[in-house]
Amino acid sequence: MNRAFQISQDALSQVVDNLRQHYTVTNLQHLKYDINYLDSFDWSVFKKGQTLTRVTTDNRTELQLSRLSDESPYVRMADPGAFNFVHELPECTLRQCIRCNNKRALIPQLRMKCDVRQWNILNKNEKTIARLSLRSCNILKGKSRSSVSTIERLYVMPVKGYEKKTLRIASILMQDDSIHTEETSLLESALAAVGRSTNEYSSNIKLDLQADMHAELALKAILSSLLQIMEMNEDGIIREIDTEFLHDFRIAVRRTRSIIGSIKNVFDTEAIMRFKTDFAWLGSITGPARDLDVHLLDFRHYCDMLPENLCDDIKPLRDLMVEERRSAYEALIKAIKSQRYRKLKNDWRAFLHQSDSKSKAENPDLTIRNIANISIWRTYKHALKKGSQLDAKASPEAFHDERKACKKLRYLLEFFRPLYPKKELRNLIRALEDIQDQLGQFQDLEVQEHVFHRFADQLMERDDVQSGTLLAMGVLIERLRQERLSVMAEFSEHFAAFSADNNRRLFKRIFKPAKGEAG
Amino acid sequence: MKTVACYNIKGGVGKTATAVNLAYLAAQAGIRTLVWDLDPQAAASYYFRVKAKVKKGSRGLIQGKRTLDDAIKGTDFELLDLVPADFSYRNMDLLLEDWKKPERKIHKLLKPLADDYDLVILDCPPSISLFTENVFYTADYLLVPTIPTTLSLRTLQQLLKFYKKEDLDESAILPFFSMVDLRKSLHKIIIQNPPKVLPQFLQTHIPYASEIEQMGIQRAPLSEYASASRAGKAYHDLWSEIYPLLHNCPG
Repeated sequence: MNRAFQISQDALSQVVDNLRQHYTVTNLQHLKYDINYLDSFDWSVFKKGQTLTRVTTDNRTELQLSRLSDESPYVRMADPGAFNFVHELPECTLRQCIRCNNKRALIPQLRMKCDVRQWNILNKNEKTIARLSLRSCNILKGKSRSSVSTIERLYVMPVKGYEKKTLRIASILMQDDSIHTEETSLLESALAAVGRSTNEYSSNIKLDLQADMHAELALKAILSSLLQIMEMNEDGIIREIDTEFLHDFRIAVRRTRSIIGSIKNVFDTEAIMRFKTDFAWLGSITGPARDLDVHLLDFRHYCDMLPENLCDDIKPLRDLMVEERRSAYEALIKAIKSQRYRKLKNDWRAFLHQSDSKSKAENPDLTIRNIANISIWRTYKHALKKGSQLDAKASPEAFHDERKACKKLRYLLEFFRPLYPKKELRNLIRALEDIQDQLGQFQDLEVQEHVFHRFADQLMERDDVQSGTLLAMGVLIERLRQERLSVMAEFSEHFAAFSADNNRRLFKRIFKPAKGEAG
Repeated sequence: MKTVACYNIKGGVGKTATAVNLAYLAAQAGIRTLVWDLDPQAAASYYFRVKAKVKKGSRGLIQGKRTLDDAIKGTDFELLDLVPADFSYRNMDLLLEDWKKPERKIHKLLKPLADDYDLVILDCPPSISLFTENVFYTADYLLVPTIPTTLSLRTLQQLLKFYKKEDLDESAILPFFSMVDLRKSLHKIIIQNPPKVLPQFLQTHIPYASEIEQMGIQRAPLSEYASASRAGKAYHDLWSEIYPLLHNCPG
């Protein structure tokens, strides 16, 4: 593993001279290159323990994949060309080795201009046993060439088979007072130097909620985080970087709606009513674009559902979806740039930051734990009741209602996670996840059937539609229906597991409000 | 991971020079390359300044007491590593005989390294034996440096005959002319009219050149000290000719 040290240019010659008393140190290379760190918006490459960089010298560009633990490239690829997603790279070892969220685009996250001096450290046989590398990296501002900060770092890089020598070399270096071991990676240090971090974005809310916090303050903190998530995703939606920006935006809107819809007796009812309407509008303008994203991401699956000879016939369907997606995104982007949206955000922010809280004055003892218990218990009972009424003959609307109830319950469990025992909550969320998967599948299949019917009608109106396309869509709709019926038939089995006695007891023990607490 | 073996039944034809120079050029092109010096004479290890010693020797490797990864040494060049030779490799045949499917043992030893290297170059000892059968089974391509003389062509024919007999894929054999001295009329004649019964020769000829012999003094690949020489350019050409065959290598 590479060993990294903090060092200043001034101390370098002394350090190298010290080392020369023990080894031959040859002044081998002076390299200059630009590094562009590529990662997804949520830093998924970094979070999987890797860094991906586009390294450019005067005459060569290559992609380098490194392990975070040693910051040395272990797979490279020359002249990668332009690409946004991992699957757009040519088939190669590097492509196979990258670990990240494949739905996310890899975007330039940080640029540095590096000046590297590298020495080889030789043994008595003049064999290289390690390398010493001083990297002086200027962090560049945006797309410009101007530097905002500089980091200097000295590395001792082992040569395979001679790792023990690295320890000895490191200990010689450490004898010099001017250098210190560095544990933070170059990327993290560079981000910190410009006030950023790899934790700058997460679609999950991470708040340190305390059980005795006043309910209104705690809920406003959660809602402020959700507003921040929405705002952080706006640019990615407008620039259509990848589909996850809209996905995360939409989830933040849904979660917001879920709180303002299901939490009672905390917020001023009149004030909140207006926001309910506005967030419902946001939900409705994001729906069509997201649905089309999902259909297009799943398109391969639709082909797989058809006999091989019909697969090409649904290509016009894909073209139609791409066309509709274009219009849906245009409408969505227009809405995000609209005065109405800006005003909604400003008013919402003002509401969340309001200090003269009515509920705090009227009910100073209303803790977040009280409210969490009440709302989770109520939503759980509702989901249980609705779910027990479902069987293979139930209407799609009834399944839809149960799906919404379970989703609300899931959001509440996630918001208030810090207030409850970790392990027990994890088990309950896992049980809920299973039934949600089932309900989600049902909903997707039902929507797809409707959407494909609508697309078939639209295609019929065109002069150039082939009979093969309509035939393939007919087959597809029938397969989707069959799959939906089988999901419906299996539902009761999954519901039985969710509503089993052990889960009921656990829900009751953790969440059932004490007498007098119920709101 | 692709495996290329530098092989000839005959010795002194330029196998090691080919292995070392091509490995260097591959690494320079960004390809993670491993050379396995299988020849107990240890010339490749010498060129890379690595001690010709593998702990527990070939017995340790074959019996699984040590993995091949344990034996790897980095060279002076980035992306280029070496499994050094060991004098015990001379007994490899005897050790292999004790194993089921002995002809697959080398392949099995290399398999765990598939994620770490894009290209493995085997520098083989001259001979035809159970050990070299392993090489035939393992290698995607067999680079056969061939001096344009009657005896060298005869050994190439022997190799071909063996491939036919064992039902191996003859298209894996890639012969090329090596140590070519165009002042010699025999060399000239053979190069101009290679025997049609033999596999298609690669286009590149490696000349007989003192710069190649200098590798022993410089203890480095040719491109490190005489890249622009005739021989240096010839190895570049040879690399360009075989590079398209190595599909899954990056670059």
